Amino acid sequence: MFSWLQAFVAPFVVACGGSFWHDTIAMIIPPTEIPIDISYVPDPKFKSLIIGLTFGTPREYDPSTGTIGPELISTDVGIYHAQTGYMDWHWDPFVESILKTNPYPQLLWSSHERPYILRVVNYTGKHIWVEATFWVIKFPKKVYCPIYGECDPEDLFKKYMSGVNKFFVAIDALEAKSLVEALKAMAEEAMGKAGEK
Amino acid sequence: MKEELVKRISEEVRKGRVVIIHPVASKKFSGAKVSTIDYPR
Repeated sequence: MFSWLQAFVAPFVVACGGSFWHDTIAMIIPPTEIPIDISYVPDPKFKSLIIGLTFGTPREYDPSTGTIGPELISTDVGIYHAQTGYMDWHWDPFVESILKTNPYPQLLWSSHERPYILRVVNYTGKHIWVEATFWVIKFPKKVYCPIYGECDPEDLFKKYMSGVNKFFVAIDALEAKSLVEALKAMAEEAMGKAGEK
Repeated sequence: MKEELVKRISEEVRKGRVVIIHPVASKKFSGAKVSTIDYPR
C-alpha cells in the first residue's frame, strides 16, 4: 500500500523533518436524510499532508445495547469528500470496490485554516458503525531548504514535485547515447571527487 | 464496550448526530452535527 511514497515522497519527508502519523477513529452514523459535515484537522501545530483515508467494514449498530452487528455493504451509505485545490467532491459509497482498494494516492495539504472535509450520508435507515484511518505526514509549519531558505512545506513540495517532473522529462528529451554519456560523466566526476578525499 | 460509552453514543445518535470516538477526538474533529467522545485507552 502507498508504494509510490517510497520513490519520491519519502525523501522529501526525511529531508524536511516530516513525521508519519495516522488517526484511527470509530464512527457511528445515524440514519439521516440530511448529509452531515465533519471537519478533520490532523494537528493544529503542524502543516499536514493527508496521504490516504481508509475504511474498515461498516456494520449495523444497535444504539440501545451497543451491539455491533453484521456487515452492511450498501450504496446508500458513505461519504463525499474533498480538499480545496487538491481533490474535487466525490462520492465514496461503502461498497467493496471502495473499501478494499486504494488505487490512487491522496496528496492533500491540510491545516487548521483548511481542514479536510467529509460529508456523511446514510439512507439505509439503520445505525452504522465503521472505523476509519486518516494517513498523514506532519511537517513543521516552516521547513529549511538549502536553495530557497525557510519555506512553507506545501510550497516547497510543489517545487520539489515539479523538479521531479522536469528531471524525467529532461531524460526523455535526451538521446539514449547522450544519456549514457551524461551518466558516465557524472560517475567520473563523483569518482574523481571521492579520489580527492 | 463500556456501559457508559454505550449510553453516551445512544444519547448522541438519538439527536441525529454522528459520533466520533478517538483518544483526542474533540481536538481533531468538529461539525454542527458531530459529537466527539475522547476515549483514551
